[in-house]
Amino acid sequence: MDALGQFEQVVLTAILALGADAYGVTIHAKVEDLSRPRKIARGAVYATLDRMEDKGLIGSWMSEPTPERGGRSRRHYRLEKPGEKALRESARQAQRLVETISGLLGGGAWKQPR
Amino acid sequence: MEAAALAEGLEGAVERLIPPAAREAVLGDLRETCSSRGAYLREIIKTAPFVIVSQMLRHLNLPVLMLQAALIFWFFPGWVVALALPVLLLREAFQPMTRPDARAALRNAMRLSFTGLFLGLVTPVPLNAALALALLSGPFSLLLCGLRTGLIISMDRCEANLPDSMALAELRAFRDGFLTRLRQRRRLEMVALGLGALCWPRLIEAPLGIALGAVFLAASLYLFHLDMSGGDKEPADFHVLRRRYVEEVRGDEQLRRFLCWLWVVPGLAAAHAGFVAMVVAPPEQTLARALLAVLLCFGAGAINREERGRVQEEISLLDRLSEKPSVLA
Repeated sequence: MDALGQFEQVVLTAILALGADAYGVTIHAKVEDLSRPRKIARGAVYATLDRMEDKGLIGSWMSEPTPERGGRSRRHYRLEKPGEKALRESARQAQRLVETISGLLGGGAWKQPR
Repeated sequence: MEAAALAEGLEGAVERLIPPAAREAVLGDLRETCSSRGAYLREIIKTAPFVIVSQMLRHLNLPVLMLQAALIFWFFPGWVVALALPVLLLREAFQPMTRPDARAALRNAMRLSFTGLFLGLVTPVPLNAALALALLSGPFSLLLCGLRTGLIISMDRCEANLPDSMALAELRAFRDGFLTRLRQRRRLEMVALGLGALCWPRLIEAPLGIALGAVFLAASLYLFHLDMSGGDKEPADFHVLRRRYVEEVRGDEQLRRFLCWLWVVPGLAAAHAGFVAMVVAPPEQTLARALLAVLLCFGAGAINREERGRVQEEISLLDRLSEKPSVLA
């Protein structure tokens, strides 16, 4: 399995955090929240979701149509086993980076620069 | 009133920028988040390029695309291939998710037919092959559409037989049945294409016969390769299995569509090379050739379109298929 790209990590994290409520709107909002202060194009989220679904990292299903969506269904997403595994591996890698940087720059490395 | 109708028309046109496979989810999301119609339309225009490219990649079947490109390259100059490839990719991305409607097909046929007939009658030019073709196009288009409607109705009889939910074991058995049928059909096609590859260089003059033989051989070897590749380990998860099944159904449909066109090419070559000359006297040869070519292309196009509608319907049903808890669990 290829390593996850940075944006893929963010989208997978969003799906993990949202649980059963993960669909286009909520995923985009969560991704924007996780990527602050960057603005994220909605289309980029859809393209990444499609790509990760093709890789088997996530699965999707359609819900019942709702009136507030103009009678259209939601496409819900969930993390699959390979996605979970890839996300864990990414987290471990990030952890190693954090520890290395903290060791070199000290614990205050995470403070925002003035 | 008119302005509102215009805005609705515009909205409908802009909504069509989103490929059908993603339309429902994406437009629903935008409808849910955008407060005004203007914001909704702006957001569609901003989102569409991402979704289109994503769907193009999703529907890309590289070997089939390369075979199509080889075929186009043989018959047309290189710039046509450069132009045709994006069009082919876009066509894949924008394929409809429903079956075609038999009534709409007939309605369109009537319109086309009577327009052709009317134009043929009112055009004041001397009677020549082109005019004769135009005059003939009226009743001829009705005949073609009769064929197409018949195809749609016959395809409608093939019910996409899928329940709302399935257990993992049921889905696995369902997919296994599909794969078995697929393997049997592909073996037959492989043999037929191999025979075609042997025959065309003898039946059709060089260099077209040789080129056609080469494309048939490449297609046959590709089917052989598909038959020999054993496939990956069977997924133990319902959603992954369903996803793979959808990919297999879609890939097969793309391949079949190409093969259908491939079988038309020798007919077109024969029409062009003078097969018609043996049957029809010289003045009507041009007309007869044109009619044969149109009939062949229309037949292949209609079969592909209706078959694709049925497959897309199956894919959208699979998309909505939910997992039923296993009885054994």
